[in-house]
Amino acid sequence: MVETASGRGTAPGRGEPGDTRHPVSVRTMRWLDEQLREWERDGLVTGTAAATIRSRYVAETKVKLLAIVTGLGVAFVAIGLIWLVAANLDGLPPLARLAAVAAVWLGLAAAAEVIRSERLTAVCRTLAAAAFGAVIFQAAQSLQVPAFEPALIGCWGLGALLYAYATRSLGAFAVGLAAGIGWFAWQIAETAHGIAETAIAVLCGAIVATAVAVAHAGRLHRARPEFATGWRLAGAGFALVGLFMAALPFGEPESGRSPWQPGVLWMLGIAAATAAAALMLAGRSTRTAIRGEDGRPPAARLGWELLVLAVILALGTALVLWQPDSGALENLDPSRMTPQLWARTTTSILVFLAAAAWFAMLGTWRDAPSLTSVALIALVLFTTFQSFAVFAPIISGATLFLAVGAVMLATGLAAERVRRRLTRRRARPGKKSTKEATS
Amino acid sequence: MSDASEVPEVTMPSAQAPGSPPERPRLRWVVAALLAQSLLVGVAVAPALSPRLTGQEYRMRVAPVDPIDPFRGAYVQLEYPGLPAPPRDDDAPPMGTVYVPLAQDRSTGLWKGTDLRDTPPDAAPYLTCESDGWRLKCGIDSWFVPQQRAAELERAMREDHAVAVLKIDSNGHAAITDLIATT
Repeated sequence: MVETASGRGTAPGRGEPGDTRHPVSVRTMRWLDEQLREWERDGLVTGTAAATIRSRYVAETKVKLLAIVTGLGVAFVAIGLIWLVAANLDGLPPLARLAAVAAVWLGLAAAAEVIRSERLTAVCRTLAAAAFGAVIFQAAQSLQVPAFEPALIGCWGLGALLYAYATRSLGAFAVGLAAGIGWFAWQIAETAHGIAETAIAVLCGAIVATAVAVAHAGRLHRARPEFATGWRLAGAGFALVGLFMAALPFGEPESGRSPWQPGVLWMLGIAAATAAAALMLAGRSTRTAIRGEDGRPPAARLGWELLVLAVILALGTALVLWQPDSGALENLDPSRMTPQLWARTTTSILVFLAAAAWFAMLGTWRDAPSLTSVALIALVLFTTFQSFAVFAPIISGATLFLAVGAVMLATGLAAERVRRRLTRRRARPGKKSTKEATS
Repeated sequence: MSDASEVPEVTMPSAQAPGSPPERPRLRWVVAALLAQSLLVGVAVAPALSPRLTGQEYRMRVAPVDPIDPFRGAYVQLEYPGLPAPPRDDDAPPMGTVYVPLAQDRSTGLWKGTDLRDTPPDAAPYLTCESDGWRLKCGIDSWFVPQQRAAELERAMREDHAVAVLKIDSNGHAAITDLIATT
């Protein structure tokens, strides 16, 4: 038990039964203390109210290191389990090995439902998701399914995701999403021929991932908002990788092979269907939700995300199909840089810049700082690659960095100015309505 | 007053009363997920299950893909000298699913492929394979082998005395059930 901040009696300590305090970071606690002092000084709250508010929160000191060590431990155990399967130990017959691995999987899943400790439950669920992968690989090995089959990874990812949604486990979700992304990348690499097909397929994958994120509206989002963030990250990653590939000036379609192969057309159809289904689902889930600040229903705002992805797909497709002679770059011959090649290269840089800016902004809009970080890192990598791989024979990479940096600075400053104006305008609706009422 | 942009994040438990234990998922959803996962295991190994359960047994000569180091880790990559390679000309069947009718060599009793077709033959046995224009993948390209048997098999394969025992079902799907060294 600890003494309350108001000095009146005692309250349960952190983690004790009846502890109703919210854990916040030390920085947040410091900010709250500052604000409460200001509000008290300005007469907005009394001393008692300020103490009561403060007592609802507790600063949690660094368990971050413990969390990292635990996370690493989980990852190592998961990798070790799968590696054990790959080692093909002959101490047991194949079926006995399969039974043993399945017992580990089910044992972890059962333990997760029985254990009352939140942290241990999370660890068990993450390991159960990883152990499911070991079961699939062991089953494939026992039945001599050929090595290097992407379908095995796909089944692992799907199963782990089903388990994650059933248990709302973030660890299991991370395992499932990682396996799913691995399957998708492998499948594309095996079936697509050439950069054009690959880029279009990857951009379609971006739409599917974003559509799944958009579908996380309503109760599912409130239960686990991190799931939507994960899907958005995957969508952003695919979109930026797809645009990166589409921007390459070196890739030409294989001679005589149209990029519009059945696989690509299927991907386009799946992307369109998933987007439509996601919007319907999101619309139904948020039908009774409070309307957004701008008065439009939340589903309409979610539609913007998919619309932008569709535009990115269209622009990326246009870039891969627009292939002027790239001999100037392949042979490091700047004198052969045609106006078309200049136009294409400039357009691809602007498109990538706009896409990265969109995802950076989306990260702020959706309260997902990781999304913003991914977008900015992708932009740096893209600019670096373009400097050394494309522009090196023509202008120095430093010039490209200067140009891109100047554009980003100007854009950022202009956007900040617009944001402040919008904030001031939103702060005035009371004054405006009073004026209208009296006019 | 601090700038609104510096407001730090506050992590709150989602959709729960403060201090209440985390909401546990309903057991039926967990059981349903585990059942679905079990089904997925079956889906993952389905290509190898059907021939094992319903297929007939055939034997084909087999050779290592890499004669210098045929064993990578716990499995060996296999190729079948008796199967035709995809021809690289305009008359070649398109990439994708191809069919390889099998015929038995009466002198050795082993089976081998006759030609490549883009439609299923009328009569079994035949293999259903995927062609990428360079090689055929028939689902029998690798063999997981315990370390103890590795040396014996490696010697047999180098001397061209290794045979794969396959099970092939009526749709041409194959599974390798054994790899034996013959003398």
